[in-house]
Amino acid sequence: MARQLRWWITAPLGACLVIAIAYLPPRPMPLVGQRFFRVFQTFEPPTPYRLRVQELAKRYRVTSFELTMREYGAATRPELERRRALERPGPVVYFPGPDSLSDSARGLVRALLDRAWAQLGLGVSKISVGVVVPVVFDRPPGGDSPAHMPAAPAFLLPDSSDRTTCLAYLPIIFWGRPGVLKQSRPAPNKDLAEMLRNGLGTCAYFAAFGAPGQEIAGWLTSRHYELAEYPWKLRVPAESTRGGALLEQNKPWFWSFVYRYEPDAIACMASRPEACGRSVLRKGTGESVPVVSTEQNFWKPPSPAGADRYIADLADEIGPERFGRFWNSELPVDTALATAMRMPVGEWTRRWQATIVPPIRLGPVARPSAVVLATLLGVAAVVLVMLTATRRQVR
Amino acid sequence: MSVRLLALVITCSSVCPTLAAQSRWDRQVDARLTQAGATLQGRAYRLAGLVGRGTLNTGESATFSIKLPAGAESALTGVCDDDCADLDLSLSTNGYDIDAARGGGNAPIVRVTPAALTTYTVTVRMMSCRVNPCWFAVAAFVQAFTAPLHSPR
Repeated sequence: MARQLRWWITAPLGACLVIAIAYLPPRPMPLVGQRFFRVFQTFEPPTPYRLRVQELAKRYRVTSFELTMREYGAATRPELERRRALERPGPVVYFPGPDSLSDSARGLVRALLDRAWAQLGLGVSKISVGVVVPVVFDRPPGGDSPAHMPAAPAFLLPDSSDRTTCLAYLPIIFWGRPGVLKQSRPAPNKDLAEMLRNGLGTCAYFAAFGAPGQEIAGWLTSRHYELAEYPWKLRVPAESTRGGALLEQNKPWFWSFVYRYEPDAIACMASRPEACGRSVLRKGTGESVPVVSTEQNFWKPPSPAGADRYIADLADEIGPERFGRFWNSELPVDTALATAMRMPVGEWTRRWQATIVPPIRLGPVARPSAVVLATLLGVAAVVLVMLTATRRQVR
Repeated sequence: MSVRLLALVITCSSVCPTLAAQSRWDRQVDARLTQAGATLQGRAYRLAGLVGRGTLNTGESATFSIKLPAGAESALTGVCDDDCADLDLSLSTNGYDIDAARGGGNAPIVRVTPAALTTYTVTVRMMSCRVNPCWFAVAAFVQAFTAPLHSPR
């Protein structure tokens, strides 16, 4: 083969390869835009030993948290029973740790939680709720032990040892910044009120609707209740919730974050109902522990996107009566959900997903600007070849 | 009427300890127990004791042991709170079911007349509870002897 001809074959093939690397999935955004995140992606994957150590540390943390919460539960039990007997609605608030919080600050937290309880329409409930509120003004205590308490809300759900108490752990950490609870006479604050209301989280469902039916409980437990981390009547937009914070399409990290989700969750963002259904109905691998933590794993977020508010949005849409029937249903999960939604689960979830993340386009699609540029380059190349060919013509 | 009222008070005084410290659902269970006691006392049963009480979610069960005296017919009744629609009760000994009340609503009754003093296992299963958990209680009643009227002299 002539040398020049070989060059003409190799060069276009090489160019095609470069374009494919730059544009084809899983990177619908040019590589240049992802340079910052590529630094993190080049880390070596953890060794099996490290994974095992991490798993053990996680179990240790969960057990330690459960034990501490059971101690708090024992401390709050007399008050919980007294309130239940006297038919006094509202959660019992417990402030652990050093006595550094003023009485007015404690009173404010209690008042805000009572107000949140009333806003959620909760009265005297079969399952009482205790709220443990550690207030940390600086940094949460750390150390070498993995047994640190969570920095985000966590819950000890009712189980066979105590069926009638749900404990919410709701840390307020100021990280050294000035905060409303530091003041000697703190005034009600909208952000604090919202945080406390949302902090009732999973326990609010137990208080309002009781313990879920066996099928629903099995499904939610296997997923660590990640779909029911917020209470209903959620007034904050999707991007303000924990899971939605990184899902703004105009942000440079959007695509990088999207591809941290499971394939079904990504397909759900692209408005594919079957994938939406699978993403919601899949069972997790969670152990049957009564501890639920809302701490987010940003490297592997729960599916579908915005999962932490899925049950809250469902309850808001279908109303408390229908939701209560779903929550206590003994039907298989897909049937119970479809009955409550009055449509296939995938279809409802597809519509809901579009309110959390604007639908994305998947597949090897080049951007219009790139298409125009490529066409212009192609035309220029053809013109150049034509001119060259005209000059070299032998007459 | 006054005898019936007295019976209610006696039953309640033995079954409902410290009413004031109880929850709404405990009180509902106690009220139903009192009602069942009144019905059974009208049929010559007297309260032998509370077999057990507690809370159960739908599909869960609890077991208790009870010794029943020989010769007299005993009746065990289960009751539950207002959210409970179906409660099952069964009585067994040595692994054999002696009597069972299943699918019959929220006030099941089982009966047995032991030939000798026997220890029975009482199993109570919550079949339907609208808001979990549901409070329940099981009480035993023993038929009072009416023998003097019928026995030969």
